[in-house]
Amino acid sequence: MQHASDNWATAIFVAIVSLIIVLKVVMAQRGIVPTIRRIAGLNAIDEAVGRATEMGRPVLMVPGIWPISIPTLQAMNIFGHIAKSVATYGNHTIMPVCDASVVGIGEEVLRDAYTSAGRPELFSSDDVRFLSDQQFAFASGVAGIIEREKPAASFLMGAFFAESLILAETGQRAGAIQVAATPQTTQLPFFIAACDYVLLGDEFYAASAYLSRNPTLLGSIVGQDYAKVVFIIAIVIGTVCATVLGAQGIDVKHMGDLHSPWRTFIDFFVK
Amino acid sequence: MQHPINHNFFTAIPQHGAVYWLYVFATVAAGIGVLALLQIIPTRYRKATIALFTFLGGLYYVAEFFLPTEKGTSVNALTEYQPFVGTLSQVIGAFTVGLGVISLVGMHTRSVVRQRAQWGYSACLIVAFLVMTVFHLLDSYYGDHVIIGQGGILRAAITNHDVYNFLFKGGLNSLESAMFALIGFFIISASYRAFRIRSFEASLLMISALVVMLGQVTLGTWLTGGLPTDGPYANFRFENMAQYILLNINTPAQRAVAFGIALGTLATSLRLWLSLERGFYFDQES
Repeated sequence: MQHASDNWATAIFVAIVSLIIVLKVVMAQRGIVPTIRRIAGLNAIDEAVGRATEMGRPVLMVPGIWPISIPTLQAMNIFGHIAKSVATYGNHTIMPVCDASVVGIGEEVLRDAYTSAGRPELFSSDDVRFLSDQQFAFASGVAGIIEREKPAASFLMGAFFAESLILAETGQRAGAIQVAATPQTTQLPFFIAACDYVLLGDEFYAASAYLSRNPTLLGSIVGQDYAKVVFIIAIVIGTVCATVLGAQGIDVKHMGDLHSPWRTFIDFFVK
Repeated sequence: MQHPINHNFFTAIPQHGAVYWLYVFATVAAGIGVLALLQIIPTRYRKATIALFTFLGGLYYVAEFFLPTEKGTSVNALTEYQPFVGTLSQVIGAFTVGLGVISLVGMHTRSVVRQRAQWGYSACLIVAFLVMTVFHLLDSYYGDHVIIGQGGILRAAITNHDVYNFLFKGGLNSLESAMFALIGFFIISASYRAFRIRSFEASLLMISALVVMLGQVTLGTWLTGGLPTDGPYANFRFENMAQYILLNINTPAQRAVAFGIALGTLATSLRLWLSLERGFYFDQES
C-alpha cells in the first residue's frame, strides 16, 4: 500500500488538485456557473433514441463489467439521463449487468428516469438483466440480446476489457447507433473502430455535467480543467529542467550525489 | 519491512468453532438490522446517514494515505485496520449477491412459465444454473463419492468431482475460450472499417498502422533489411519507424488521455465522498 510519505510530491499534487476541484464546485453552487464546450457523442443521444423509437426497437445500455465503482456509477448517472429521453419517447430499455451489486442501482436509475418522464408504467424490472459475473459469459449474453432483440441504439459506458470489441462489433452488425465511453485506455481503439461516437478520456466524466447542466457538476469539470493547467505547468517546468540539465551532461534520472539548492525543485517536477 | 499486525477485535476473526458462527450470525443480523433501520428512518435522515458513513469510509482511506509511516516500515497507526474496513465492504457486497440470483432466476422462470419468444434459452439457463450449483456443492462436500462405478466402457469410476470438472472445464471454460477467440475475427472486421481510406485522418491512420504492423513482423524487417543499422538511413528501417511511432506518438497520446481520466476519477470520487454528487440516484439539486 502506498502512502504519502513514499512520495510527498505526488501527495501534495493530489491535495492541491482536490482543493481546486472542491473550490470550483463550491463556487458553482454559489452561482458562478461556467459553460462547457459541445461534445458530439452526447449530442447524438437524442438522435439515437429517436431513431430507435421510429424503428420500434429497444435501446441497449451496458454499464461495463465492474461492480459498484467510479466508472460504473458515472455510467449509471449518464444512463439515467438517456433513460429519461427513452421514456419520453415511450420506448423500452434493456440494461444487462455483469455484477449482482449493480442490479439494484440499475433498477433504481431506470425507475427514477421513467417516473420523472411521467411514464412509470413503461418500466419493468426485467429491463435490468443480471447475466453472469463471468466476463465472456456476460459478453455472449449481451451478444445474444443484441442478435435477438436488435436494439437500434447501444450505449456502452463503464469499465470494459477484452469483451469490448465483441459487444461493439455485434452492435455494429445489428445496425445500432453506438456511443461508447470507458476509462480503460487500452479499449478505446476498439470502440473508436467499431462505434459511431466515443467519449474520450475525461469526456466520460464530463458527460453527466453536460447532460444535466447541473452547477455542482459543471463546477467540478472546471476544477478539473484548472487542475490540468497545473499539470501542464509542471510538465513544462519539468521538461525545461530536464533539457537544461541534459545540455550540461546530467541525466536527471541518475543525479546521484548531486547536491544543489535546486535538487528538491528538480525532484518535484522531473521525477 | 512490514510491521506486525496487532490482533484485536477489529483485526482478528476466529476461523473455527462456535465463536466463528456467532460472528457470522451477528454480522448477518447486524446487516439486516441496518437495512431495516434505513428503511424505517425518514428520507431526509436516511440521506444524511448514508452521507455520514460514506464520508467516514472515505476519510479512513484518506487519513491512512496521508498519515506518515513509522520509521523503517510501510505502515502507520491506521494500516492495521485495513482488513477490517475491507471485510466490511465485502460483507455489504455479499448482501447484493442474492439480488443477482433473484433477478436472473426470476426473469428466466417467468419467461419459461409464460412461454415467451425463445423461452428455450431460458429453460437451458435454469437447468445449467441448477446442475452447476448442485455439482459444485457435491464436489465441495463429497468430491470423491462415486456416481457410476468402473466397468463396461468406463475405464475408471466417475465421481462428483469428475462431473463438476467436466461441466466447468469442458463446458464453461471451453465456451469462454470460444468467445475469446471470436475477438480475432472481430478485430479483422473492425480494422477493415477503421482503415478504409476516406479522409486525410483515415489515410494517416492507415499509413501509421501499416508501418507499425510491418515493424512488428519479420516481413517488415526483411523488407528494409538492406538499410544500415546505424546512421541516418537506419531511421527508415520499419522496426525503428514503428518504435518511434509507438513511443513518441502513441504513448504520449495515451498518457494524455490517462491524465484526463485520472482527474475525472479524482473529481468524481471527491463528489461522492463529500456527497456533492447530483443526478439520478443522488440528490437532485434545487
